[in-house]
Amino acid sequence: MFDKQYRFKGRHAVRVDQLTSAFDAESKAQLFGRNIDVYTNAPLIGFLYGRTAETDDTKNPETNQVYNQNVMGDRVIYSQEELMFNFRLIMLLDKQYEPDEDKRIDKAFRHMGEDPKDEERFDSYVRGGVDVLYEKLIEGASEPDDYINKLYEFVEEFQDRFNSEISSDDIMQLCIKK
Amino acid sequence: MEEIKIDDKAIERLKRKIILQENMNLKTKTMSDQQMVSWIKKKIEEEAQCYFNR
Amino acid sequence: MLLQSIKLENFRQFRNESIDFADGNNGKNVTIIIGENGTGKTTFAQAFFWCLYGETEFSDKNMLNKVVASELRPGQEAKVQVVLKLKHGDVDYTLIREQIYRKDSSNRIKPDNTVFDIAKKDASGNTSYIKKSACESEVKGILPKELSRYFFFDGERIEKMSKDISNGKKAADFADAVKGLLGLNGMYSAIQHFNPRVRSSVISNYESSYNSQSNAKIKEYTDTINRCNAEIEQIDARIEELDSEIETATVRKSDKVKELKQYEEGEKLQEEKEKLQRKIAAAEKSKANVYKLMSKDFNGNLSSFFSISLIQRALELLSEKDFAGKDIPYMHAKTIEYLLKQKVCLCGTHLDEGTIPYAKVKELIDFLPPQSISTTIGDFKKESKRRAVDKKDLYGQLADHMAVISQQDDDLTDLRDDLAIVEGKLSGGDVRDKVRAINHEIQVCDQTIAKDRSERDRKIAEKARKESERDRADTERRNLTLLDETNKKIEIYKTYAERIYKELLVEYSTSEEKIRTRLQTTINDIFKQIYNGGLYLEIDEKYHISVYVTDYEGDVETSTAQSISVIFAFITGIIKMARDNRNSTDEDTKLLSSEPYPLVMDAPLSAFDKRRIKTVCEALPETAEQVIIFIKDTDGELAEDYMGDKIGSRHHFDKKNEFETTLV
Repeated sequence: MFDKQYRFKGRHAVRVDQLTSAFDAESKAQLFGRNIDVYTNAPLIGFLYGRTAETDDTKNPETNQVYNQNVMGDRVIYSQEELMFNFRLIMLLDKQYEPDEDKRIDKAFRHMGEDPKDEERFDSYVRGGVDVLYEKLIEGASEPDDYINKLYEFVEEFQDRFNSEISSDDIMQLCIKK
Repeated sequence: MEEIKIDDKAIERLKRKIILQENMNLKTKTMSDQQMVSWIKKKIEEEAQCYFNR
Repeated sequence: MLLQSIKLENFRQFRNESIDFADGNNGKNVTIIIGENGTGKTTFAQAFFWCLYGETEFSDKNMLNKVVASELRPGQEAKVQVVLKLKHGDVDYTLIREQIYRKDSSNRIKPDNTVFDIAKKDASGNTSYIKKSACESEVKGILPKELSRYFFFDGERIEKMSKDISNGKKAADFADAVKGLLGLNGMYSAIQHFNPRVRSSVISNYESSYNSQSNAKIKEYTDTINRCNAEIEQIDARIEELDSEIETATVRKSDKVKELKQYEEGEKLQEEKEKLQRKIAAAEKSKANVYKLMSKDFNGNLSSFFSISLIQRALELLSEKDFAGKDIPYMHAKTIEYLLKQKVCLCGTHLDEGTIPYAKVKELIDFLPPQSISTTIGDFKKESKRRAVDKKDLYGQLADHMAVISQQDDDLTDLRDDLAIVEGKLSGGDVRDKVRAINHEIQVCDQTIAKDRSERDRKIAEKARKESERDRADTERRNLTLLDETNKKIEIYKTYAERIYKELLVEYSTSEEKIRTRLQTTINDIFKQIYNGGLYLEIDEKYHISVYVTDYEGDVETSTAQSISVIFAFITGIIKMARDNRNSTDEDTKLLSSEPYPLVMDAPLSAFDKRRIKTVCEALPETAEQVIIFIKDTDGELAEDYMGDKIGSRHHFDKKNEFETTLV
């Protein structure tokens, strides 16, 4: 797992391209620096927002080829630990996918990556997350002001919905506990 | 260069005569400008002649 | 000039009326004509004017008597006529002005042009008619229009005249009146007859009569002199041109400089505009920078931000489990496999397949990595901890940035508003271009002025050279002519003439001053008579009149009445002086030719205070050869009382109706 090239296809490819493009010509600021950044974080978004998506095969009308955006193999390997961490998080917590707690722990740790369906599940969250990110950050925006406003609102919403009760101290406590 | 000698008294006489004549002419309008000029010249020349011969 | 009679035919409300004027026989030189306002005094006075000059001040230019006009049938015509008989110098004049009026088919009255005839009878009794073309100038010689109003003293126009006097506007007119009336005309005329600038004058005549045949060289000099004069004239003309050009350029330059000032404003605005534009660009750049920072913060925090909540839940889940217990630290499954293969345990016990030790040791595999997960979990927790620690307050950071952006947006809006205002003021093109254009024009003007000035200087130098060339030629010629009898004579005559001319010029200005002073005295004498010295005036060499009140205690009138008195005194002063000159026995004064003029006054007494009327009435007959007064009924008695024995002719207006008045 996470040792080879990853391919975005169809509309997801288009969206990843948009998410990594400069939205402000003056500063050349981008929402996401590289495709790998989308790949590592989209699954978290997909999971949190409860969104999955099937692969899409929209074609580019000019070339008549299916759109694609690649993440190079070496890039993936470079971020392998991060990807695995995020994978574990999702496996641990995806009750809908696997209701049994111990089985989830196995999927996350002991038998990580042995079931191809697990990776499949992960990928569907990747795609779902791309969709969410597109909807929240890109859709309807045209001026740099729009993108910035959308970004801010997204972060605000996210903070409020997911992170407001979290404190670093609690986490530290949980870490110490054996 | 020869100095031209002028009789001062003659000048006075001439002035008087001329002005009186001019005044009269304004009233009677007997002479035109040209005629006045001729009259004046005649008077001057008369005086000058008299002085030459002295 | 003395008036003898006037006859009006169909002239406005006068169908057929005439007046004979008192001419001074038996010491009676006053004519009075009595009539209330509206009976026709002004009309009568205007009749003089119309006869002499063909003009009136009536707004209705239709002179024809209205009754006569109404009686006309279409196609018929009627005649308006004024006959004025007067004596000027030794000549008797009869001036007849006529105008035919026709009624056309639409019942409208149309006037023809006026017809003017002058008959004159000279001292010897010869009558002649003046050519039509010469009539106007003949009248001008008797009484020029501009001076006529000094004699037709109009009580109603006093206001204006007095204003003119006090602000010195008509000073030049007064000057002319004085000089003309008080005898300087003769001298002036003589001067003109000598003036070398006048072509046919005495001096010019002599100039051109040098006998050129007697000496060719003289001719040469004469040619040189003429040529130089012609060139000098040309130079003068050019200098005038240059002066005019310089004037124009100077005026234009000052206009442009004024215009430039307007644009100075604009140039400042332009600078401001550019400054604002720069500020806006900088602000936008700064804002873009913030965008960049925000992206960077976002990108740098992604993993912690998005995963922290999951981490918490995951850790909570894991904390309920206990994994540590059976784990053997730092041992791997491979170690067990090695031992199993070796079939000997670490402690020495044999490990044979199927035995309990073997099974127990094999069981341990489950608790070792990769099978055992506590280490993995430990790693997981480590990573979790790291992410937690690493986590920055992304939301807070972005919020701060947004605040900055909000401020920047406000600033940008303000700057943009300011810019719009400035741009609004700067409508109409780039100010800098306009300023440049104007500066260029100013430069051009300066160049023109400089160029013209230097040309002018050159021309003046050239003129001086020509003048000396001419004068040299003149001197040479003179030397030559003295050698030649004929020309010598001409030279002498010319010298006489030049000398006379010079002296006349001096005398003219001296006499002029004397006259002015005498006039001042005469007028002040009149004031003494009327005001017992409460008023006096001074006339300066430009004929500006200053009035002084010396007697504040006494009964000097208001300023309007004062002005009237000034004019009255002025006119009577002139007329009196003219009369005195004429009757003078003084030799010098005799040189001044003064023609007496009548004093024609319209309602003079009403302009004066009751207290003054007596003195005025007593002074009047003494001032002029002939006095003609139009007065109101009420003043008529006063006039009889004070002037009775001087009155040689009496009339009064009898208004029959709106359209007809007769003289009784």
